[in-house]
Parts: sequence; C-alpha cells; structure tokens
Amino acid sequence: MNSKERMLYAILNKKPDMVPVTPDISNMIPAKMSGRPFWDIYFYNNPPL
Amino acid sequence: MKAYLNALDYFKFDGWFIYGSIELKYENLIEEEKRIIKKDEEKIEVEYFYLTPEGSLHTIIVYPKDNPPWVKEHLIKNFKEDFKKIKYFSPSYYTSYTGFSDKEFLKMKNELGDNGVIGIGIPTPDFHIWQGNF
Repeated sequence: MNSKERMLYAILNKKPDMVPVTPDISNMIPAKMSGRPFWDIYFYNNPPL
Repeated sequence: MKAYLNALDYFKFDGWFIYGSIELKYENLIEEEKRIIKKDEEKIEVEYFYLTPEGSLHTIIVYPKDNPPWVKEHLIKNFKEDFKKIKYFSPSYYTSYTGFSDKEFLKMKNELGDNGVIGIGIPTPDFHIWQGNF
C-alpha cells in the first residue's frame, strides 16, 4: 500500500495497512530547522508559503 | 513543494499536502500599499494600507525573527464606520468571479503522485474569518 492509498483509506474510514503519519511541516519547522528568520517566510515570502 | 517532497522521502511520512490553492479570478477594487516602519534584530513592523472605493483601512503587523507574525494594530477600528469598506475584501459581495486557474494545483498534485493526497480548504462565508481583524 503506497502513501496515497493509505491516506485515502483513512479518509474514507477504511482500514489501512498502518496508521498514516503526516505531520504539518509547512512553516514553523522549516524555519526553525533552517535557522532562517521567520520574516523571510512570512514577510518576504521566501520561500513562498 | 520540493522541500515537502524531500521531507516525505527523508522522514518516510505519508503526504497530505494542503498548502496549494485554486487561483480565483475577479476584479480587485483594493489597492494595497505597505511600508516598513521599524526594523531591528528582533522584529520588523510593517504598516499596510488598503485603499477601497469607499475609504482606506490600515493595519500594523509585527514579524518577529523567531515566531509567526502578530497583529499590533487591527484593521477594523470601528465596525459601523468600517463596514462599507470591508466588503471589498470579500469579492463575492461586489463582483462576480470571472474564472479560475487550477494550473498550479494540478502541477502540485502530479508532483506528489503516489506519495500522498492533496487537498485545498474551502472556507465558509461568515464573519469568523475576520477574527484577526477586530
């Protein structure tokens, strides 16, 4: 079962092969991990959200 | 998108990409101007001006170095007075949508492939979406 199938099974309330793991890693984690100031993302749109 | 795909590959996550959107096309009657009013090592303060056909509104947003932005001065100061202006932030109140483009959305969907599912949010029209502006 690939990730797409696993996610679709979970969304459709079916039983996937394992619990899908899909953290929200959009803004804060990349900013923290890269060490870049948050204003690069939120004000200068670099990289774009 | 590329960074997200790299993270999926590195951490072996299942993708749930919710950061794309459909581009709606309409006549925008708001002119936006912004200026940096303060900048130091910890934060940038930016004043935004929105010029509507019935007057202007402004807000001040603070962008900290190590946190997401927060509102220092809210957009709506006097609801009764400002109501005629804020309708221009909701295009469906004064104009018709002329079309949309799903080009970027479909590109992201193709790039994600079997690594997960892609979704977009559809907000319900109401004043709850204005919570940060009062």
